[in-house]
Amino acid sequence: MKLNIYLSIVLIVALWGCVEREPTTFPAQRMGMQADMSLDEADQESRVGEGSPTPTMDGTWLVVHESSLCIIGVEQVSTSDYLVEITQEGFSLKEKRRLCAVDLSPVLGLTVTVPAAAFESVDFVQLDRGVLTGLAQGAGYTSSLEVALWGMQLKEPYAEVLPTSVDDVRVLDADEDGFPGVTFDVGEGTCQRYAVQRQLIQYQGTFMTPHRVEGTSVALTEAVALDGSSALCKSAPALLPNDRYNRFIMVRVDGRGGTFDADVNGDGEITCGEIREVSVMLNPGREPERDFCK
Amino acid sequence: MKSLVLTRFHIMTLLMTGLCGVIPMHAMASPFDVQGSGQDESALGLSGAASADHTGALHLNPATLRGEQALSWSVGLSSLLNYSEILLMERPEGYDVPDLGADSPALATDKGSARADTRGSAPLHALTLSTLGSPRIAPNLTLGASFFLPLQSALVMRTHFVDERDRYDDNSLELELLDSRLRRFDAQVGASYHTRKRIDFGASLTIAPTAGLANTITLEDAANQEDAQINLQADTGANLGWNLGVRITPHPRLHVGVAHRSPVFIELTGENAIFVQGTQDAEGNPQQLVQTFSFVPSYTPARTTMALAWRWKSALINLDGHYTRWSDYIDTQGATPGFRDTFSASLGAKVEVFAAHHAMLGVSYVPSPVPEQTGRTNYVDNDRLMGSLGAEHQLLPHFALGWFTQVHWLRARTHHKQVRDMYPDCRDDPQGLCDEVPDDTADGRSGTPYPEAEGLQTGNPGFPGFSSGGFLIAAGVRARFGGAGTSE
Repeated sequence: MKLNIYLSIVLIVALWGCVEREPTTFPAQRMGMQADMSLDEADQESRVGEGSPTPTMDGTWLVVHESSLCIIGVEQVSTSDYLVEITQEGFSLKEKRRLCAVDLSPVLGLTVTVPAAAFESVDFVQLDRGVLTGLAQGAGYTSSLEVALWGMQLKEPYAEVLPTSVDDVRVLDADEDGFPGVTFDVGEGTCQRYAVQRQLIQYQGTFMTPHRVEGTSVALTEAVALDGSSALCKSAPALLPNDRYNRFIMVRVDGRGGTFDADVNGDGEITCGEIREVSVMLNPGREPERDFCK
Repeated sequence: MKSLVLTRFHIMTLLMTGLCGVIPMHAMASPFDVQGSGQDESALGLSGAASADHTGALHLNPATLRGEQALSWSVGLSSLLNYSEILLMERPEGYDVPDLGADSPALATDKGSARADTRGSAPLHALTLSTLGSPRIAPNLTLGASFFLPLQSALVMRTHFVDERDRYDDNSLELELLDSRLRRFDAQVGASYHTRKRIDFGASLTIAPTAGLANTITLEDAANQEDAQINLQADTGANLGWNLGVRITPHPRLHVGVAHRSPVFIELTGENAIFVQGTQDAEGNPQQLVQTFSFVPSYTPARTTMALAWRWKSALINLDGHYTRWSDYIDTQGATPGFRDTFSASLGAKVEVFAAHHAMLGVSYVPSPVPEQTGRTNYVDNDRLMGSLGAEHQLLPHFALGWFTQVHWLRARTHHKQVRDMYPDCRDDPQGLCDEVPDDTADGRSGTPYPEAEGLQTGNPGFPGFSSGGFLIAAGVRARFGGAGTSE
């Protein structure tokens, strides 16, 4: 009897530390499923860049521009979406641009985010015209020079030296956030950089179809950090062009010639929101390459 | 001859004291708190705060330290074998962190280390040294020193995350208070003073190293970050811990001991100033990125001890109680997790079974200070029941052999993460289980929210829960030389 009691005590103590894997009480979670694309939408998107020829390029086009920059020896891939209103006169083109989105790949683990207020405030200066040699497949296209001024006003947009001080009268609070220039978010809230920037871009490509142009670009970006919320953001490393890896795709999105019509709500105006999915479909973006800046 | 004894004592004491100043000490009672110093208390269930007349008193109650005019010293070996287990629950479907490329706010589940159970850890082998004696010029004064020297590594300074960030490291859980915290050099020095009025006083000191680092790092080529120019500036110091005690002997057979020790911890603080060539501002001034850090690789909390000891003929019975202020605990990353203060108890008995042969046994119970881990953190700890056995054999007038063995049962324990309607963004550093991919995570260019971001996504290794338990085994031998019976 006593032996049984002793053995029971020993057994209870020994089992005291035994551990088993227990089942969870957490329920399985069904991932949110992307709404199925309707047949109409799928059909529409399949027609991006396709359709009957139109007599001119007049209308609304989407430009997806992927440019490569070298920043302190590291490649940064910048992907930008534009809506361009084109008016053709002879073989020349008047182009009115609107920047819809800018996505920058991280550098040294830090991602620079361009808030909507910043890119919506960009002032595009129209100085010349684009040129095309035809509308058929294989014809050439050269855009007008895109001169984009971020957070400043220049009398000589091409050549004027950029301001380096917040006290410079050419500096504007373009995004109206109370800080000079435009505000870039660095490192997902790590700090804010208050900067001015000038972009000079020219696109040159070939018509793949009457409603789709693909090609390369020459892009120059100059930026000056006027101030920042911390030391990290008070500097703007030099942005060195890396044009051999630039490319762009340009497609008609106004439905003319039976092409894709981005005006989903039918209000007669194509908005940046309406071309987001198409732009990502055309160019989902790429990761920076380690060797592209060597 | 008398002066020789005194000189030897002084040399040993100075040597020990000097070592304390030179070698970084963890002191704290932790490995001593868990397995003792290898002296009698290791076999007595870690009891003896009213009766320990050996160097174990330095961490129990220094007032009970009692030495002879002739110096005694002991050397021992001990091993601690860890047979604990931490088992992670199977993850339910649908909570993985997706790979969203450059838009990913968190490391994807299929990247980095695989989530894994933890089964035991490497054994801890240690050398224990201690010395004890009373100077002839002050016979009521006893001085002692005790050292715990791990044989594999003198000092392990290791930090770990206790939440989803653990995936940056090994993606498995570890015992918060019983594993790497014990792998360190430990040393204590102290003294007691015995009055003729049945009251004794004592004090001991522990020193924990601190270090302040200020590093400047220059990256000449940001694309080649393996090649950095680094300057290191390290300033070392010490955190001092103390232990004060008193023992009253109201009856020749009864001792009452009270002791209180301060918290003491190892601290590593500093900053890295990083400069990347090419990041000067518009006026050419170099801009530095400064990272600050503060780590506490080991923390031993304050403790108050009350103890009774009853002697009857050659028998001794100890009963110790401890109140430990775990609520002040600081984890390795410098966070205060809000542990609970605990009361623990030890019971030990010693009896002379044959002439000059003493048998000892003991038991102690140490409740876990760690509350239920229903939220973001995964602190692993268990209630601990320890049983011990040992003996001391006085083989020669100046030589005794002792041994002990302990079994620590870790009471099996299971934690379940709490199911909630909403989970906060981990970047807001919440207490509760958090979402590493907030629902509004969107494609950076299109602004379209990712459907994979809906609901909770977490790579927390402790999600959805975990269980821990198992046992530890400690054993040791020691040889004691000199002391009682030593001829002068």
